[in-house]
Amino acid sequence: MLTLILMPGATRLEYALYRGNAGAPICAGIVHPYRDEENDAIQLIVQKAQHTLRLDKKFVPDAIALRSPFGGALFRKPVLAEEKMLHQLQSLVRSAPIHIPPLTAMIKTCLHRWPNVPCRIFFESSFFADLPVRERTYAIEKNAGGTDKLRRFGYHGIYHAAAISASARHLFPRERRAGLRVLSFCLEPRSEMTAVLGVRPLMTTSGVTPLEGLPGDGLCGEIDPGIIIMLNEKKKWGPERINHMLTEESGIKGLTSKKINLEQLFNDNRSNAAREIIQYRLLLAAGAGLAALNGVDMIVYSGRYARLGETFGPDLAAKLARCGKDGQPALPFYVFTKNRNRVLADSMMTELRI
Amino acid sequence: MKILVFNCGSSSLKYRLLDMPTEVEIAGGEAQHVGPPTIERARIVHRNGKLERTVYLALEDQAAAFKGVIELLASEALRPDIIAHRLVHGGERFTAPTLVNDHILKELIKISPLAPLHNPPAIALIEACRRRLPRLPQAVVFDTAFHATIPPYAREYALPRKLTAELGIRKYGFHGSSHEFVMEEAARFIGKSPGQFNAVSCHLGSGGASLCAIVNGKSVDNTMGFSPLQGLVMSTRCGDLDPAIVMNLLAENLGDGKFVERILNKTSGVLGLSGLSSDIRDVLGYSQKTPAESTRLEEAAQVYLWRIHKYLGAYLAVVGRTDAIIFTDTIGETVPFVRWAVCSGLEYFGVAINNKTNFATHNLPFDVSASNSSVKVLVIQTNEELAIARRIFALVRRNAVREKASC
Repeated sequence: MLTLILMPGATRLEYALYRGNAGAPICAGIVHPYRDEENDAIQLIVQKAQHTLRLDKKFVPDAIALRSPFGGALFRKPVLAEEKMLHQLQSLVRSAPIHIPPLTAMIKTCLHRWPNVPCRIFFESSFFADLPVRERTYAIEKNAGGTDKLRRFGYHGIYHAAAISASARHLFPRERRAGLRVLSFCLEPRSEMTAVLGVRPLMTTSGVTPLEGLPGDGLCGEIDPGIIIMLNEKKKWGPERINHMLTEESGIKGLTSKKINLEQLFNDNRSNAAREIIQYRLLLAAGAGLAALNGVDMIVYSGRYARLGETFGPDLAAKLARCGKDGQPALPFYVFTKNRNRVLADSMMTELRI
Repeated sequence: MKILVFNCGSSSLKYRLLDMPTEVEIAGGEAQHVGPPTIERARIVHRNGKLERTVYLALEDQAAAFKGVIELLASEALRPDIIAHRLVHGGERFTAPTLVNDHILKELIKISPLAPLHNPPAIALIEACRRRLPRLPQAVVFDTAFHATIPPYAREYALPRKLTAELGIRKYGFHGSSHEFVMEEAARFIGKSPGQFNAVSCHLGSGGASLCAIVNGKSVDNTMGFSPLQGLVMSTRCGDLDPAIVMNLLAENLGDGKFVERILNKTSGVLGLSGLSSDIRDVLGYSQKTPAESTRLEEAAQVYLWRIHKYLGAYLAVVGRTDAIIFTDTIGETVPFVRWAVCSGLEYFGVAINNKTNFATHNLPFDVSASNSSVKVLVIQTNEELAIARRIFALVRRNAVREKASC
């Protein structure tokens, strides 16, 4: 079975083509720019697939998986892409003006081009649709968007779900897997930690957007809201200027003045101060997660920098065990190294019961 | 030595005259409705031992309040040896109690913008004191000073270093005098020296609130940050918030920072969540409301409590081997339900509360931990004025010793 994975972003279309259970993709890449030329972008992908597979006839995938960061509370699991759900997606545009329009455009393109190919949409936020009220609610007045309009989501639900499932199978017998308490770290350019009880997240570090929580490659992570007010008043910066600074110039880049990622940071001996800050934020998040779960059965690392779990994982596990009651055993941890596209391909096969 | 401690608010002036080192209160009180006239008359509510009296007089500013207090004390033949002022923000410049002189006063004025609502009234009071009693020594204690020991990895934000250096952007932490005081009292209560005492201190006031992680008697983190806005859900403050929400509010309100600050500082928090009251006690005591109102109030309480609970876990992880969790200030001292709710589900950390003790009435300090709790849970009454007096007394003694040594 040939599964085409598509991730339509604001300016880039990421794709990967998988055959069955084989690990590596047959072909993968990015088309950039592509917006308003979705058909041409798909045509490029089709040509690449045809060339790689040495096909005489036009390439047609057996299944398509579309990934989107945001589905709101409306989309709680993968959904079939069809005309009638486009209307539902439209209602989310205001909440996610960057993510939803490219998604709807790509859905239309795929439905038009391959009307008989099963196409599913996987939302990163689905995993967090049932985040408890006490966790997802911000303490701002209703008129400012409090409670209903603005709520916390997570943005790596696909990784968390897959990593927890795989690690549970690896570390625990079947009868112990239900109700496991897991701290799941997704280590990416925009990292996230989620505390999960069984399959339900109880706490996550991301917010309404991935800007809140753990610092990223260029992302500030958690900061005092008063800092933004001060920048507006003292430097006369408007929201766009502040947003650029917080999303592109901060995080690891802000701390090191280098354009490096999390993995490079942990291998850079000249960036000890920045590394200590990141490790401290991970510890704070883990402690909060421990409180949310009242303990932990395992710690899981996923994402493109998952292997960093082998670097700082033992130290973190030891610290968390130390703050437990006397005689607390060392906490097991697991590094999930599959990439997201592979996870989506597997999920698609599960969806189609293959 | 008699130390007169002033705790200056925007429209009030609390004072206590303390005898040190005995720590006995000689007199105390509060000047209320200081500033422009209000419906309620301006007055000083004064106590001397068991006697209390109220004096009505014009209190148009802090200088007038100061004059009223000094004259009241003089009428009882009471005269301080030194005046101690509480200042909320000392910036990076002031990390310890300081005697005031012309140069220090200039420096204090320079850092005023760091706390534009709190520092200026206190500085105005210092100036009024100096004008009226130029020979009387004055000293300042800063709320931020206890947190000067927060390590760099905990106090730095992940922002461009050039910007943070230019604008002094870092975590300062607040309620330092209170956290330090209850830490010392708690250490004494369980028979440990502060230098070997590890704790998470929960200053839960009816207005502001913060947690402090303490290792070997020193602050290593505080939930408030660059400003008192960060951290817990407070009476009218939002606490932690996705930065995108703030930027969204700015964009929606035509870049009006003051308007947005007002939303986040004055109409959010418990008030914003409940739509009823800024006081969590009102929210927790909800009854006889409609089902819709009850749901909203229940959710408001849940959000408030959950934020404290998560931060408790975070700081217990930071502290490691914790001797005690300390609850203090209005809510921490008087609302046992809050203590119970935020400590429930922390058995992993060895925290267990004795429900019977917790919900009973006690004289403070008292221990509400269960016998099998490896972490003590203590309720300690805060006393910021006494904390300030202790610091100033120690400062004066050190200076006296130094002067003697140099003679």
